[in-house]
Amino acid sequence: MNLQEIAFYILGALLLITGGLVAFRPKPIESALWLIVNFICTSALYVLLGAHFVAVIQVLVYAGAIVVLFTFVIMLLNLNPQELGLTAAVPWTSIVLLTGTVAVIFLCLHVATPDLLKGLPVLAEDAGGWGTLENFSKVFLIKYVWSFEIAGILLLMAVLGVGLLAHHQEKKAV
Amino acid sequence: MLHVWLPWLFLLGKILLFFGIVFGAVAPVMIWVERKVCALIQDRVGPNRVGPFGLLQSLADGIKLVLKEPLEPEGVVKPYYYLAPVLAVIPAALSFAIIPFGPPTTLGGLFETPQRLQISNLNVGILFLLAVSSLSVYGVALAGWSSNNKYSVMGALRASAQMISYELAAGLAVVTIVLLSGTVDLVGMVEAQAGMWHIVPGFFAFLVFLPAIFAETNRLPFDLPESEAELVVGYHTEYSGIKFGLFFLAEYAIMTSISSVCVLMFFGGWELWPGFSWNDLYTSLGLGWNTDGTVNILGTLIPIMWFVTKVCAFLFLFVWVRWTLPRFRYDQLMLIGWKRLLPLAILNITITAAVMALV
Repeated sequence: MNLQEIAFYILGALLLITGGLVAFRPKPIESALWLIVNFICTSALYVLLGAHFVAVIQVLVYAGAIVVLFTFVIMLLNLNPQELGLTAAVPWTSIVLLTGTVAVIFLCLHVATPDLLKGLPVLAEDAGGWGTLENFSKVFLIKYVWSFEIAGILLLMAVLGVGLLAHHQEKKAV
Repeated sequence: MLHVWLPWLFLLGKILLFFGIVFGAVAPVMIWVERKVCALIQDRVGPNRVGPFGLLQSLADGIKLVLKEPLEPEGVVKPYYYLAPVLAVIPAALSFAIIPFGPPTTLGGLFETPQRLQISNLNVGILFLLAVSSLSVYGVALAGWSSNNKYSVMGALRASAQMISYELAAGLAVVTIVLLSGTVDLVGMVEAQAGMWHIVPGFFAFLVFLPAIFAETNRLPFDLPESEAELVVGYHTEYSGIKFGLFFLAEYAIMTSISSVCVLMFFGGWELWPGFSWNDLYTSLGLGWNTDGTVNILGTLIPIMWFVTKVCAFLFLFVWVRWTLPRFRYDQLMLIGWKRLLPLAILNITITAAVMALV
């Protein structure tokens, strides 16, 4: 087992555990915070693959903007943390269940695909820098430019839809 | 043996230097400068009791903050209340990882090839800074939410909305500079400004970036998350002692890193003057060169000092603006962010890209 494999297993375990915590924690704000840790672990996994740009965008867009919106809404709805009932801790069963699941997943992965990590490129520099900003942009904006444009139009439509809905409500109120 | 350890020692030295200066010297001195400038603007004397010109006032305040009883208000949400100040400091500290503070140097011949005066040379460059600074909202949001105080929650909500809104404008302003310099690498950006600082072609980007960074650092005229008059002090109302001190430290550290980025992006970093480099000056004065024609230690130190001077000028601007302008209303804040800065930034990108494609 080389260092990279160890890092992969640690990150994978963290990902699964934090993912479980997002689902099992009783308070929504805690789930949101674990989600950030989850995203940062995902980002670290991308770095391990040599995809630096995707890793940074993962943190910038998901942890830095989308989960901020989540926490914003959660805070707006639960202004008083005491009303939620702080006694509702995680039952031990769910923790046991979670760790059990994680262990089983890892065991299955390890048994089923002993050379799972053989395909992993060695660290970034050796991988020919395919994940660097320059190479990423070249592939993204030359080879997949139409997919990119279509995704952009889709998002634009979503924005227009939101604008229409908001405008509509405003009219009703007056 | 030395050639194995030298890069590591160099790295360690850079890290210690940066953190020592920023957290140990810049933050206390800035607090003193802030109070002195405030006093000057308000026609008062300012701190003048501790040490000469009150210079040791920050040290005294620091000692007070550390020695204070760690108060824990009733009803706070435990782990998060203590986690929040730490989360405020981490992005501030991380943002220094990619800031170069001088031209690449061989350190007076210690190294064979010129080494960057930057803790880490990441491929994604300034994007890393954007990503890290976007995480700084969590410290504020969590502090407000876990304090069990309505004012704090209001402050936290305002901070979340404000930081998201202005991050967008700041990011788009950065895109213009990336277009102009053709790289996301901060050293590359400085080198691209040898002939002309980016402040001239990127003036509108600067016009967008400056308010956006004031809003991101929660400084007046955008300090709505704190606003003493209406929200007490917003998200850190319930914090005292060193926990409050950490928020304070984070604010000044982020101010320093953002000022550095501003200087690097718009004002030529350590470059002497548009169209007139340090090498020209050294040649005309006949100093700063080794016998073999490379720049010596003195020739490296002077640009670093010049960079620090520029950053200090920016820090002074932060303080000057804070004690001069009144605070915006909340609807004005949102209006400026979404209806003025954002369209201006997008228009600016379009025009810059079009001009660069045509010329």
